Amino acid sequence: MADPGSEAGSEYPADPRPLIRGGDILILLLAAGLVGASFGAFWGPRGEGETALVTVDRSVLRELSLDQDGVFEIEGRIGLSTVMVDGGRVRFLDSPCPGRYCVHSGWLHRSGEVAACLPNGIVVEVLGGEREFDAINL
Amino acid sequence: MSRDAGLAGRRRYRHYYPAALLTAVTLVGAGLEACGKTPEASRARFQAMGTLVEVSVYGEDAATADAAGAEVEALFDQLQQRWDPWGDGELGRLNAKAGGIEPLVVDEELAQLLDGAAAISRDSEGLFDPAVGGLIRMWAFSSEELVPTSPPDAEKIRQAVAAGRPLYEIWRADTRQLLLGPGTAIDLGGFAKGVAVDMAIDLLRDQGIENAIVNAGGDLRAIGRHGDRAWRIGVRDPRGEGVLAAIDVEGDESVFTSGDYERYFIFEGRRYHHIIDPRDGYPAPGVSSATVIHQQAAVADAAATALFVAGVDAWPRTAARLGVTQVMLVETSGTIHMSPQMEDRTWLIPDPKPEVNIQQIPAL
Repeated sequence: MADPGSEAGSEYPADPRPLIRGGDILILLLAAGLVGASFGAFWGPRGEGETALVTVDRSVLRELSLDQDGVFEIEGRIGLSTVMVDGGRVRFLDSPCPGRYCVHSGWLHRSGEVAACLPNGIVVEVLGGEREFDAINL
Repeated sequence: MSRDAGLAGRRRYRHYYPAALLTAVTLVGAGLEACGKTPEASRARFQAMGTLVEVSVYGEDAATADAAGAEVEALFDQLQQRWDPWGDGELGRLNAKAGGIEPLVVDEELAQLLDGAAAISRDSEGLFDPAVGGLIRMWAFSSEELVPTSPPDAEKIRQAVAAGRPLYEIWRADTRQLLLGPGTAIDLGGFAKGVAVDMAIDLLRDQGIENAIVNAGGDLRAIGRHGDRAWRIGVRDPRGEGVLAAIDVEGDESVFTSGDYERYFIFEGRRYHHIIDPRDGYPAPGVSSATVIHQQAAVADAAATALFVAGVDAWPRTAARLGVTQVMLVETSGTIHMSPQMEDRTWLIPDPKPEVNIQQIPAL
């Protein structure tokens, strides 16, 4: 009658044990953690790259961490190209090529983005993280 | 007795109901997590036709993907040699003979290419015209090795435009004859790359590869899909430095963009880009980029150029004449013009959303 554990007219007697016990709390914590992790995976910033792979004539010259800002000189076929890392992004700053199309490519930050100085044989590609696009249409 | 056991069972079940629900949610969540981690496509990359070419293959072992990439590379190298307007291949030799009174006879393979290009040249009413090779060279956009620094002399441009005749007028398909006047040259940029991508896809299919992208400097044809999802393509923002639109592509479709943001130079504060309007010999104004989705890469390639030149007012008519339905033009002001068929499948990324103008492609 005055039992708080059962609804009025319930055919079941009150359960003396608490509704939520130790194991439940563990499951609750695990579930909450998973929701948090999934939220990050599904709704968080996606596709941000972690490193920039610099190749010269197909051989990997160096891998730059996008966490470490800096300006790097890369020796290519016809001279020195300058590559800059700043705030998680990377770009060609200067290149000895005539058209400077590589410099026009601007900043790259998404995993899979590529810029190239073909006359100098240098390719910069953003790697790591989750690749958001299979190709970028230019 | 049995009633007691049943009661106890239901009581226990009632107690565990919240925990069971949470467990189920957890399992579904974990399943979704696992789905996001499908295996990646294999990629091969090389340099050809003045651009970076990437072949992505899904669902094949690494050795098969590598071999396919090598075959596509060999194909591109061969085509580049034959179709370079200023090299020593078929097209280069032809251009070197320009200026004679007699028409030049073209070999069968190049004739096929010229047939296709001439048809699009005619359908676009000369807005796409490979016979402006002389002008492109004058502007120094014909080679990676040239340095465009200032516009050519205005009088020279005027003369070249006045003397120029579009490809469909100087090409005779039945006799494979091409009449190249003095200063005239054929430059198949804006078409040859598309044809090469089409041929590369045929090559991959011949090897039993069903899921692939051939991406030539950002212009691509995709077949099949990426495992349990479509291929995801990002279209570059012509002014910002990110992605303007996301498009899912599957089955067999090409996505080509002509833009003013890569091949250009600045002279006296003005931007001069490489897409030359055959009607006046100057870079076509008003548009930053034109994107076309069409099955064949060759058509998508030439149509993107023609629609860029047509501009924000005239593009729907040109699209109708070319038989393309999925078009997006970005005006230099940032306004986006799209056909309804393009809008249906395009997800615009920038926030706030750019102004969008939907235009029907008329029936002709």
